[in-house]
Amino acid sequence: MERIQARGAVRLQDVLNTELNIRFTQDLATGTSNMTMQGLTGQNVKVLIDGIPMVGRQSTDNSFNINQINVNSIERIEIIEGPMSVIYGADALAGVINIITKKSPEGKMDLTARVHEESVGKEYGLDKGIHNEGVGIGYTTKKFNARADFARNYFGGFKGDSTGREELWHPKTQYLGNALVGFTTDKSRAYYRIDYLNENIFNPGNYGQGGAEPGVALDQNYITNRLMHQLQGTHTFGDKLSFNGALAYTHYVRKTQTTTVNEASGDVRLALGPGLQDATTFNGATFRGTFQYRINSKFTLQPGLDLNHETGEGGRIQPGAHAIGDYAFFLSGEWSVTKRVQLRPGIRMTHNTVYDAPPVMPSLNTKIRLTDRQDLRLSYGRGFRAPSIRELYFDFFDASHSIEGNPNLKPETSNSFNGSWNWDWLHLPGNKITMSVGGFFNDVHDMINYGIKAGSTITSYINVDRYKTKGVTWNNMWRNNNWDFNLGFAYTGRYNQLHEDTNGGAAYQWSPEVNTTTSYRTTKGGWNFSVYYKYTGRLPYPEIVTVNGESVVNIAKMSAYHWADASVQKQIFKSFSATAGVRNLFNITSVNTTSLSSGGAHSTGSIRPIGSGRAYYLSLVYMFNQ
Amino acid sequence: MNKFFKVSFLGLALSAVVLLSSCSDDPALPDNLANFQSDTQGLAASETDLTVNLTFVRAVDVAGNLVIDFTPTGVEYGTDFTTDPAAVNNSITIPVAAGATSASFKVTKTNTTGLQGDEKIVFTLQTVADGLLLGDKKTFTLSFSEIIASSATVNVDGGGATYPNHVFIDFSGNRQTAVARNTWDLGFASAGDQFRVVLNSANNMLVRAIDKNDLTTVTAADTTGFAAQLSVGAIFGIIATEDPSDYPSWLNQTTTWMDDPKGDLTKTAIASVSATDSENKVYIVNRGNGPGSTALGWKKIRVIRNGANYTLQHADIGSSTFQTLTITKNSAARFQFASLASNSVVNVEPNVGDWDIEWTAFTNAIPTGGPTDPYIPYAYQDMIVSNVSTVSTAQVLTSVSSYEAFNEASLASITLNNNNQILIGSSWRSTGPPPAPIGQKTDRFYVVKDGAGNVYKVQFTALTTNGERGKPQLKFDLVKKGS
Repeated sequence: MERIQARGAVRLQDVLNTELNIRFTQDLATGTSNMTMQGLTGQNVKVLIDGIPMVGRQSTDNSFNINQINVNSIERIEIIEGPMSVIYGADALAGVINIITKKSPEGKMDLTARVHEESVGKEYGLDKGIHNEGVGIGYTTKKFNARADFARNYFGGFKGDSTGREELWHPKTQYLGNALVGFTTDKSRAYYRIDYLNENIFNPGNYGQGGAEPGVALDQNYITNRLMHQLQGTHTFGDKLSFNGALAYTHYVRKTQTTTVNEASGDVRLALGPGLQDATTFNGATFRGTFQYRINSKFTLQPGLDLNHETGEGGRIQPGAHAIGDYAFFLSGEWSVTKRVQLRPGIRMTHNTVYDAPPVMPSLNTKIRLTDRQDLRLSYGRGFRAPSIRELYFDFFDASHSIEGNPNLKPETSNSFNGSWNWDWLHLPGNKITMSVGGFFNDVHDMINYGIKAGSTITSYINVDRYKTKGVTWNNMWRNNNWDFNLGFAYTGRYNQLHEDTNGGAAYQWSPEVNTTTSYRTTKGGWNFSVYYKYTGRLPYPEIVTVNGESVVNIAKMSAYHWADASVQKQIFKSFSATAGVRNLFNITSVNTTSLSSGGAHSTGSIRPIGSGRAYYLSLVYMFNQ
Repeated sequence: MNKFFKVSFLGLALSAVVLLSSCSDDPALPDNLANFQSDTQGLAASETDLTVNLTFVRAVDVAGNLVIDFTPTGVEYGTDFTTDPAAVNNSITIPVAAGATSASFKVTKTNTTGLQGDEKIVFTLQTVADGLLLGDKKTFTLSFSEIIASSATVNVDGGGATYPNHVFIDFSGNRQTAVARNTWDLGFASAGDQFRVVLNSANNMLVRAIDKNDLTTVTAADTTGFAAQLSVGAIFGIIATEDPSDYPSWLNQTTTWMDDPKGDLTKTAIASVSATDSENKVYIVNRGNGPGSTALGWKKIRVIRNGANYTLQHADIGSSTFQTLTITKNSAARFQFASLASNSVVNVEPNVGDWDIEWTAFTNAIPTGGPTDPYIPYAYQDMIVSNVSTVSTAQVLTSVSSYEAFNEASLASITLNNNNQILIGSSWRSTGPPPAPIGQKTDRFYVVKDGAGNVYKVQFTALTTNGERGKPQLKFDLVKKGS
């Protein structure tokens, strides 16, 4: 993707964080980041790689970590907002991020190499800052194609206000590799692809602190290993029928390793306490098969099977491997009612071996061409988020906690409505202006939260809450041979569950966003200048606090902030390009909140970490085609 | 075609490199060192034997032997003292079973009249079992007189992350005594004028009186609804899941089901035992949780006086009969302890003069917020309880005086007190969660004055050992000798 290079992106988050309706905060404890989309948490966003769901929902918010993907091997990213549950099943409630990987151009051998150097705030050095290297090689003939990519990403951590050995943002090293072999005939295409990830997030402690003896520090390593195999193929049986199939298997292990390091000798040993050495393992197998059957020019049918089997075991989960089978049939059709009206109804029927999946899930998409240059799209869909293995089988008992999972949980289900009006209002040679206005409404039932297990004194998870989000977006784009300009606006409301309480505030709490991108390409000389900007408006959120012994609702506000990136890209010779840029121009590290609750046993404090300060980068890319 | 194979080979080779380059070996476990628990101890004139403890960093993998040689000065093996296991040529061999985390031997003074007090024995750990290594503390000196330790580092033998032990620490004697916390249920006050019964707070035991005074008439019907209330887990569950405005009203009574955490014996959960038997009610007991959160179950009890002593009546809730146990006061210790499981009197606290502070799991009372802000019983780990019958304590912030600089002259500026057994309590450590710091607080230390008037400064230097909770570390230095 051009943008990834133009922005000097080192992780997917660097590209997505100026998109409307997507927000990120950093989880300082685990060194990962949390995402929201359309006001819904990241666990409602399904991440696909070439259409195959990624396995490894983890972290505290059950979401997939999008930063565990090699950005160098990405061709493009499709972000589909709105529920895609009919096609993709569970956890596609807020939407889908589909990552399309690079394929080599036919008849050519190509080689790409990239070196990226970046500061983290003011920190840069041999073991500080960002040092990334990547290579990719591909070769395609009429019948065969092969490709391999490899990348090492090093992030030296961000000290912030930490002292000694501690790092506010934990240092991280990733090794990412993938290889692909495929063949193509007149009627068929198939390939096998393997993806590998090794990630180590290192959380160093200070000597004689954090519980450790004098002269000893307690360190943590969060080590992720992921190996994903996939076999994908398409076959055409004549002009009416085609088939698309995919088979994938993922092995995912996330280890928490606690070590002691001796200050005097540097000796590193495993720590001894229970739970300090821990591994969470997921194995996921997926089969998806879809037929595309064109009955006539008006009707097309798309039946498919989506079979998933996942096992999980590990820390604070009841002992043993827990298997979840999810077997679904889906059928969608396209009906061109008139020349201008297109309907796309869909239905999914699911059987789940553990929980009661919604047996029938409908969706309906309509596209109405108002004029040649205007269309109106309206869609409705049911979506659901499956209970995670942690929510089903959690197991945590100590002196002050008795919490267990609830195998009787139902999925969280939603009704979602999305609509947009798109206008292609200027379309001249070399100039194009488009505008679109959209809106969405998500209504989630049976949200999972903590509760007391019926007939016991044990805390567990129950389907109890209701949550809704709604919003509008407005996007504008102008493009000509040199200029590329986007301006967007979003206004999103999040449901306030406490609005009926005393001083509970409005039922919806609203937050605005503005984003804009400007890029200028010189006609000669191979220069490209870009500026990306996003304003993330003040985010109100309700909380219960105790004031003078009275419990009241406080609408706390997370402050607004500005995010901007700027870069210059220059083509040097035929095969080289260089990108230099500034990330996080406004030098954001964290934003304040007006939360009144702080210092409690399980509170998060009143500052939300967002970025690691203004950073400068230089990226060199060598691209060879023959 | 040829080119294709070249390229795909390259691709596969590359991915193989990826796979290999990222495989790494885990670090090794820590060396399993064997150490004497302390370096010097003394036998008081009144004492005849002493158990000498050795500790290992972790459980030993295979059985083997420890060999300890000793050099007596002024005393002779067999004449003035013996050891168990017995020594041969001033050398003791101690068998160590697989899985053991410690070892000990006993020294018994057999000459009880003819010693001057300046005699001593120096023990040296010579060889260790397979899998063990010699640690730094490989010698131990036993004096044949009471010592007043001047300085030491104490690795508290709390037993690990499930907090299985109470550990009683005596600074002047440089001793620690570990006692399993699930060996007892009730403590009976020893003072002649007191008829008070305390609960095992380490197991988060709670009790509630019912309006009956005959155990045989109490049935399960009398305890309806108790399981959802008379339990620290159930109470915490309410706090964790309900909004403060929805707290049930019974939450306000929950602290009456536990003893006063500060140690005020007039505020025990069980009322003072009356001389009039009929006034002594039946109590329903939730014995709480043992190490590893194992529920210890429910009992019904009743305590009556037995002259100057006590009689404990107890049974399972549904039982139509009950057992009785006589508890005889002994003024050498603050309490006599009883086990409901074994229907027997057991040893827990050392004698009054033999301990200063205790490290233990504990039931504390904490505020919860909400309109009435009820206090509730809450399970604490790493509590420091002081022996308030003879010991007084004070906290000093390092902003006022550093640990090193604090001396006898500094004592004038602090106020020691003995009206709160948890004055040290949990104030020496913080528990997060991240990103809040977890661990010992380095901004403070404590002053402890023992029953003999010795004043020590004490600082907690670790919450964990090799990362493991339940194994804290402290250091102490003598500030002023008792007169």
